[in-house]
Amino acid sequence: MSGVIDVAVVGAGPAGLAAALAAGGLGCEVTLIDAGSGPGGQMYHHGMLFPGNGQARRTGAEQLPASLARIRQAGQVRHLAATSVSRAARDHDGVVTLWVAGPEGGAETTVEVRAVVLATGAAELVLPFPGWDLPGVTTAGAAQALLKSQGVTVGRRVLVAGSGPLLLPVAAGLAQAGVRVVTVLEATPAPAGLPQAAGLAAFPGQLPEATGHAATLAGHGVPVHAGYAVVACQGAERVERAVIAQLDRDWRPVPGSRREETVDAVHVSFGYSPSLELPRALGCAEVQHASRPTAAVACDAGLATSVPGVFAAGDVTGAGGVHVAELEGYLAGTSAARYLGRLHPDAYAARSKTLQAQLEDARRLAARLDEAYPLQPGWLEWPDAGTVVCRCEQTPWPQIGAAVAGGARDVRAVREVTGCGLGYCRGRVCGPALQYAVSAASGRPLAEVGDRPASR
Amino acid sequence: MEPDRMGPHRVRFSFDGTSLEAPRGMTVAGALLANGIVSWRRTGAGGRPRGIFCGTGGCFDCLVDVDDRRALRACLVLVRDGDELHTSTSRRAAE
Repeated sequence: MSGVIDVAVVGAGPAGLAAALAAGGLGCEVTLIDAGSGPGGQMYHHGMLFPGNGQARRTGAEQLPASLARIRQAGQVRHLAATSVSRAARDHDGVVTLWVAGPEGGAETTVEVRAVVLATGAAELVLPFPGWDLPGVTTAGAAQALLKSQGVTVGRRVLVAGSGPLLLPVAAGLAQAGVRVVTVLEATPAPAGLPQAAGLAAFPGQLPEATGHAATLAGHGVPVHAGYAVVACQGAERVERAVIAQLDRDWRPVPGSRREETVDAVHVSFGYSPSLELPRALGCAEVQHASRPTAAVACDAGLATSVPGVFAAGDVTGAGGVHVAELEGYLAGTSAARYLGRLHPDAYAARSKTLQAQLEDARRLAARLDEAYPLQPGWLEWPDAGTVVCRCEQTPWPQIGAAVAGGARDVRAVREVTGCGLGYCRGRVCGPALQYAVSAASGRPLAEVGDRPASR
Repeated sequence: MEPDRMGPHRVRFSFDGTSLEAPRGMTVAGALLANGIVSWRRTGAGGRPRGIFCGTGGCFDCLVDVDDRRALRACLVLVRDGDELHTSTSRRAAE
């Protein structure tokens, strides 16, 4: 590839699609880069659309937003599918170079741009417990992705557990696909763990969706229990049993409440953690979440990051859901066009003002949901001596506390001593749990123990 | 392109020597799960079984060997007619 183009949008979920459409609509030449084989991201799985699988085709088509159809017709937008950005750098002239490659690695090519919109989304936040590395234990998002894009399920008799608004739609989707969902376990105790009580009363438009999932689950005879968790999984070659416990308000297992359930899959999720690899490569400043072991890209009101020409939108700015993501995408794409001089300042002011007003409403709902599902320290009692906290390096759980007791005062120091977070995934999976555990063990605030993962 | 041995709708492949089929267009992970297989990696230390976890290419738990290509992420790579899949024991992932 040669020649510097206007805008690269990294990530083709709701935020990235909106950003590409906004920038493209303002005359920018846009390259949209995404690891998926089609646009949509984790929110709108485009479906493989393979013949002979009506389930995947139907769910795919139902999920298609108008922006997905429009992106295909937008002449200004070039879509690089099945492509990952492995490295990024910005030179003194302000040109950003992205190194891109397919899913099998191999030969990299470069894309050179004057402006970037980072719409890399978020990964699911997961917490370790005994047996969480057994085959058949997956994130809730993985179960949803496999169902939506592949038309397959991991198990036939499953539990959906964790905390947050993702549990109900995932469980409802599985139940509709014929999976026996034994129960949904929301760790946050009732009534706060129920969607109706999560501050949604102030947002009537959101209630039908949440109650729709609840009704679907009720129709399939799937109970939803608040104040419960899967605290262990057992099995030889795959998960065969899950241990369920009632939790107190701090998520500590209530003595005597443990019981076993026979299952062949368990799907867990505790919220989201923004995907910061690319923003970090470009040197973007971050903000630490006040109460969760996650950070997000720091942005101004127009979604410009601390690095000139680099903008961010969607869950990477702090997981706010699909409505926030789309609005932020339009705003970031518009801001990128303004940065490139494709939009008069007066026109930009008018457009951005409208979008920012809409964003304010959308973010208020996201903040309520975020506050409704706080992580509680009792989960620190779920792992046992044989639990791995780092799935890549198989770091035993007790090593974290031992490292802190031995003088390691933050995540970086613990990582150096234990190797936790130095594997294939670069700490993407265990990072939040590690930060939380180090904060708890050291008695220091989350913001003081977190750091950027060691580069390889 | 591989010869279209299975017609337009299905592909045939093998996993650790067992012949399997799946709808065309699936990922390796989807194709293995469609055949009831949940594990296709062994960890370097302890040989613990692993399969799909995050489903989005982020966790590198679902690594699988495809022909002579080692440690590919099964959740991202599409299965092809004639692929010989093997349980991966590779220490490092293809990136």
